[in-house]
Amino acid sequence: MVYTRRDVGTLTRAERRRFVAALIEVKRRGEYDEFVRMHIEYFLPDGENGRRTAHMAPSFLPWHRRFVLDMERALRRVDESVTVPYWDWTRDRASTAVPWTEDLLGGTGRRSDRQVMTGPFAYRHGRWTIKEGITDVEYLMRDLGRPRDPMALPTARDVEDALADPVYDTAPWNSRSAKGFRNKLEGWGPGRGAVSWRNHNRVHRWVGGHMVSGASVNDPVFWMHHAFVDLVWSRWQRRHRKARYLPAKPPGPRDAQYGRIVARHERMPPWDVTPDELEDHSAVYRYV
Amino acid sequence: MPTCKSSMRSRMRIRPSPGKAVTESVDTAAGCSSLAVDTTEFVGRRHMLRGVSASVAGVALAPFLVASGTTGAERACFRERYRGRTIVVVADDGGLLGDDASGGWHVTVDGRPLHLMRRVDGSWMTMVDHYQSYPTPLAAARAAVDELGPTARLGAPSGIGSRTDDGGTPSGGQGIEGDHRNGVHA
Repeated sequence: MVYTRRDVGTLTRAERRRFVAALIEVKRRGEYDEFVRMHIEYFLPDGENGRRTAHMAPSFLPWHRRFVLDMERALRRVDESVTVPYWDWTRDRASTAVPWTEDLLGGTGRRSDRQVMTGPFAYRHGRWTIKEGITDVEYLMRDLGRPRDPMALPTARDVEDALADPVYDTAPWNSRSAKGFRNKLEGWGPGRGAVSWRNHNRVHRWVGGHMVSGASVNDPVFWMHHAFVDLVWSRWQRRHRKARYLPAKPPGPRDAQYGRIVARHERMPPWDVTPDELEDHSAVYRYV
Repeated sequence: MPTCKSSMRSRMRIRPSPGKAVTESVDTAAGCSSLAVDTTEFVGRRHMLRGVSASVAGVALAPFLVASGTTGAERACFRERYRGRTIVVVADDGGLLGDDASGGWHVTVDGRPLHLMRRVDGSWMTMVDHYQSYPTPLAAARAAVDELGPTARLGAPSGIGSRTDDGGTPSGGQGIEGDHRNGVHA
């Protein structure tokens, strides 16, 4: 049975409540922190040795597609009516709008220590204690829009720049790939500082707090953000019907990326699954 | 764990005064030049901090560089107070040669290890700041301090199993990947 993923702004009050309740139950069961741990574990920049699967690599998109699917399965084991909604940050751009409402994710952190004080994930409720992190902080942190040095979310135009690229990814298959849909969406742009933050990366920075760190999964907005990134990949596939995941074949032994990325038919750790098997999600879910 | 021992503070000491860029030439024999002539970083940071707090900026601009002298040029140490934190950067041979990714550079913030990682363009990243890279280890450390804010300390919330200083090599996580061979399925 194919289920739908919806724009978070269209969820009814009851649907919001059930989504939040499912997240908190997955957290209570200890499963949520497994996801946080795994994301930390799979953060490997492209200047380090080893095979990259989650970031700075062609498999950024299928890796996170599978990651969101696994979370969605965990949520649906709690409540099968729940799916992961997406946050279209090209439209819902205000730090007071959805999904930052009291009944959904709560708002930004307080100024002194960026602690989220509102909504169901506020520390004082005792249901969202950070256990897997880079720091000793036990409360969720946000800094929406970075008020001390304000920045904006990516725009529809920024997403369109990525969507218009007809090639999935290009050599050198890392954070320096100047062409290709994947890196334009992942967002490792040229230059330094704010100008280099594109699309996906820029959203992490705009949310701030935990979302900037390797432990970004601690903020439940991670899933809504990545559901939208996944939706953009779907749109790209629809627009470029014949385009496929690249590279189709692994780089050869003389290539600097030999053994360091995942080709279309190679296994993508930690799962026993290939990018090829993850390209079509239409039998499982669709976006509305 | 990197420490700046007093015995190492033998040869060089640079104390830039606020409002003045660090322009002193530095003996590069100790291999500290990449840190010591990091003038754009100082200027850039000061520019960023303008309007935040004059006193904070003042603290940020009181670094000093120390390096081992006669006993070998293999080890350099740099310490600064930045936004109320103590950043210590120690570079040994490997860091200077850059042969093994981040090997050779060791950074602590208030005595707690900050694991450095490399991007392919030679810039530096940390787990505190996952979505941006910086031109030098010191710049990455300062950015980490910026993200830590006034109260957070490096290390896992529980105080055990810190993720800040492990090797960074995926070990094939257990647990949530499950037993699914198929691609997209419910």
